[in-house]
Amino acid sequence: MSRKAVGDDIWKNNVEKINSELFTLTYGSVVAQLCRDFNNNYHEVNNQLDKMGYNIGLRLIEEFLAKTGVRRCQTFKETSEVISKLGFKIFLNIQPTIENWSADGKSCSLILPEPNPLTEFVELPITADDKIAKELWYSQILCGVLRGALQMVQLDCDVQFVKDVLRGDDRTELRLKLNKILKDEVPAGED
Amino acid sequence: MTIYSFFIFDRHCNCIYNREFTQTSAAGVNNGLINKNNTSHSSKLLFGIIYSLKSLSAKLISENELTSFTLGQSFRFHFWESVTSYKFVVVTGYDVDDMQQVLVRLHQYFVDCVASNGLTPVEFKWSANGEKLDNVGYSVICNNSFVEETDQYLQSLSIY
Amino acid sequence: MSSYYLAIIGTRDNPIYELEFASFKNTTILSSPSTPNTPPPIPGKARFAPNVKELLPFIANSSLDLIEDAQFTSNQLNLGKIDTFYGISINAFITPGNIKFVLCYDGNVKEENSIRSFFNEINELYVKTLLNPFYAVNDAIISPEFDLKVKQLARKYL
Repeated sequence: MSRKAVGDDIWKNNVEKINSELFTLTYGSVVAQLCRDFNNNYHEVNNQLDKMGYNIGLRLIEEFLAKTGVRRCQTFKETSEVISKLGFKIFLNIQPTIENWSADGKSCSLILPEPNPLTEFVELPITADDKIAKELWYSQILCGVLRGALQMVQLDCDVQFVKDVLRGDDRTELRLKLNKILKDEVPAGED
Repeated sequence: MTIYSFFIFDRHCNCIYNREFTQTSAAGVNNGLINKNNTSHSSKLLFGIIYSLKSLSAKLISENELTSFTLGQSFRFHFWESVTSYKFVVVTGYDVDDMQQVLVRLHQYFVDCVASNGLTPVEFKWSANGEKLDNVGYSVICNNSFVEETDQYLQSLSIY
Repeated sequence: MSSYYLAIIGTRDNPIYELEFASFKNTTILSSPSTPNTPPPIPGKARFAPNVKELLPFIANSSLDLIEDAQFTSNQLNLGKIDTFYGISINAFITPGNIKFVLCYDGNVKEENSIRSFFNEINELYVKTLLNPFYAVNDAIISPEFDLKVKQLARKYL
């Protein structure tokens, strides 16, 4: 079965579902509360969202592997396909497209489709503070999740937002870059 | 036809879970030792054997995956590794053939009880009371529901 | 051709949003204006006389008492016409969160139904605004999109 079919099948049958508005509102309150807690220091809010996502990703990868049973990918291209067709599909029921491969095959862009379940009904408040539209990446938690999950499968990656519809761009784009492949650890005393 | 013990090793080569089953007639809950042998020599030896066999079999035949091996006439070791480098080992008697399904099921229990729990450490370098153990030691899985569920599952198998 | 003044008032009697507009229907350009000083009507632009225009926020606020009385007698959200003031009729709608939508218009007898539907749609827009995590209840609504959508609804219903 093609990956996409596998993903659709798992989403339909094997995944417990919750109300999407509950999910959106919960995430929204988290972001809004973080903004209040850090006094609108949006760089710090981005960092915190990234850390939260990192912790989620470390654990989510186990669940993902148990559900899908995929084995190790041979190339980074394969990895990115698995992320978009299986990963995002199973957990968020969206399927991002992959574009803009770099020449060495180590970085690519993930374009998140609309509607993004994290950002439904969200508008960044414009007048109070126009820093918000320039500094806050609302869905930053996704970057952390990807970074954490990939680290558990020995891939050290950088994930960053490049464009965001909430900021007024035409689409939401994440840049995924492979830094290096971590080697398996060897027990002490062996070489 | 019996199960002797169950080990889990993490990606840092530490034994994060060890369960020994004793065959007493009392069908109680604590019919065995939990997490008593994590740092013992035998755990480290076991890990060493597995690591060497894995690399050996990978070099001999590249797509081969180590699933089980026997030592002498008494014990058989069944092995399964997740993509995230968690290694699950079950030690059984000689005549148990295929435990891959069992091991995958144990991994599922691991995912449900341990990995999904936001409060358990992922890198088991944190001790139970929240201090970071750098070169001192490492913490273990002491999640009660994980222990109970895996016990129940293993005891319900016909080969127990 | 009637002119309208919509105000959304919060739980502390604070204004959250206000908009003046005129009916987009039945606009006729008068070939010979009755008084030479009256400019031809621009569809959509409210034509309240200046002295009335100043009083509109006061009229809206004074009807709040009536709304609060009426809310306990009726179990409808849409309260209909609750007051008149020298030729200006006032319709009101109260949300379950005690936010009041007040519409003042120089009234001919208007179709109640179209105002009802208008209020219902404004209510839906308001709920969507509430779903924004950065919006707290009783904040002013400053989003230009909200403004645009209200104007579109006005064109559609009134």
